[in-house]
Amino acid sequence: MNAVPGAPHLVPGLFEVGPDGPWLLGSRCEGCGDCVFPSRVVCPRCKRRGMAVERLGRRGTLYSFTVCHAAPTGWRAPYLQAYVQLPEGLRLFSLVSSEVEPRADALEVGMAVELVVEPVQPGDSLVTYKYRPLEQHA
Amino acid sequence: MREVTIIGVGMHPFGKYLAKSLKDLGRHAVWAAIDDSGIDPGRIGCAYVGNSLAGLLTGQEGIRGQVILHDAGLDEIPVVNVENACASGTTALRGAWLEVAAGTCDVALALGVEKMFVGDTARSLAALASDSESELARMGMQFTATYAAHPKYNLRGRLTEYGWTERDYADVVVKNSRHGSLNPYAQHRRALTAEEVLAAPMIAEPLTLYMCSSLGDGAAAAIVCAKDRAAELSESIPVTIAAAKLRSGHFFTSRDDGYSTLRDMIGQLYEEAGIGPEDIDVAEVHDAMAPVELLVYEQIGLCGPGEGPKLIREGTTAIGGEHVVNPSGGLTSRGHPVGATGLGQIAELVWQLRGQAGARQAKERPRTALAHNQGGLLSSMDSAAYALTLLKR
Repeated sequence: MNAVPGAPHLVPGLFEVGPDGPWLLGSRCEGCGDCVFPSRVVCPRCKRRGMAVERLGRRGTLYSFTVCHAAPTGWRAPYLQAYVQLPEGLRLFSLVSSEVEPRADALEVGMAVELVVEPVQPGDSLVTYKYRPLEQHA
Repeated sequence: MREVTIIGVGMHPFGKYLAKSLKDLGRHAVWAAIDDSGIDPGRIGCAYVGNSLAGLLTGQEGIRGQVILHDAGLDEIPVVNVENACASGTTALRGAWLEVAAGTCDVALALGVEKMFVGDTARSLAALASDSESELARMGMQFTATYAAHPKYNLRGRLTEYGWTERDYADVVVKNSRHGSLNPYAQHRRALTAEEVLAAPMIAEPLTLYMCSSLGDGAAAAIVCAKDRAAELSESIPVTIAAAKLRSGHFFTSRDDGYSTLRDMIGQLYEEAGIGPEDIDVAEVHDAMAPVELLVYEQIGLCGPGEGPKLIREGTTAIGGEHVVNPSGGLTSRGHPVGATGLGQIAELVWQLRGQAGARQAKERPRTALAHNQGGLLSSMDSAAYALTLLKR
């Protein structure tokens, strides 16, 4: 259920949607090889300037999650918040696809997840990146 | 560097004071500290004022410290405005300590003050969200959920990883709310039962309302003085600032696999001070959600991984125990008016070290006390500011 390309992003610069689907936009240091997300210009490890943009995060595993029953201003509860472990070595904050019921038994720590781009909440015009359980293929 | 002591502390009780302004709260704490020290206020050579949210909540974005201190009758002295989210208070103390240690003046004032109740909870919560990197707040990151799921805390995951239970979490609240019930400066003064804590509305699984700190108004202040002038200028029992450490969070890259900022910092503090965790008689720690106290025990070396609930069960960290943690009630019971919290911790520890904490006196003649204050969250996956203060009688 990826959103239409060209929809305005909730927070600019975090992801792009190409013909091959969505990617997160991080950076990789051409000096020490470390990778960061969100994208940065200066490498926080070796302090080299001019990190290169790196597409990452297509798939990962669910590191942790919770069901929020109290929402910040402008958000509807209950909703899921998660941290995703990427094979690139990073952990990052993510919302979970609106396809997933906001219940603790709808997800399992360690499960394979994939990146999607969706309306922030159903019906919103702004889109954001989220993760959802990777479909199991028989 | 000269040795520096705290010769006076004062607080405006933390709570909900709709009729009081930022100036009212600040003035009260400043004069309580001056009266406590017995010092001639004309001796105060400079001031550091910590506050986080007044710009958004009262419209006073600039010159907050001068506005508050002029109202309190303190003019002309240098005033430095400090903002470091929930760690603003002890960051202000560190500034005052540095001034006196460096010798720019003999006496300095540190004030932390916050006014969060403005008659519109949604506005207060939106302001609080601005203590995180704004991109995270815009992405819907919810503060309590951070403690439930962020890899640094992962209080939901620890239930599996460590075999901790929701009851273990509730028992931290039972301890701290009992401490808070004995503290006239505390915002929430009712001792809660584990059953009440577990039955409270769920905020972010497994954290219930009573496990979370709330909005608050309040102020706390400290007067610091060069140790070699303290006896001449004040009759109060001096408490020495043995260390005041401040660090910003780590930017996590693909090479990192652990969350060790606080552990690294405390290791350095212990080494430099020539002490160990066994020497900590009393501590005030940053339990924005009470169960996180169990993780802080590990990080400051009071126990090994996963052993926190044992300390609660055995009463080690309760009043009367060996290493008393949060005798004030901590953030969830004493309250967490963010910019005031750090100096609230300092005021409590000074009273404890002087033996003046009344019904909540942690133990007889404590000698060494630790304050752990922390604030803000960055997209790069760590807190923004960590502040540790070591006090000695």
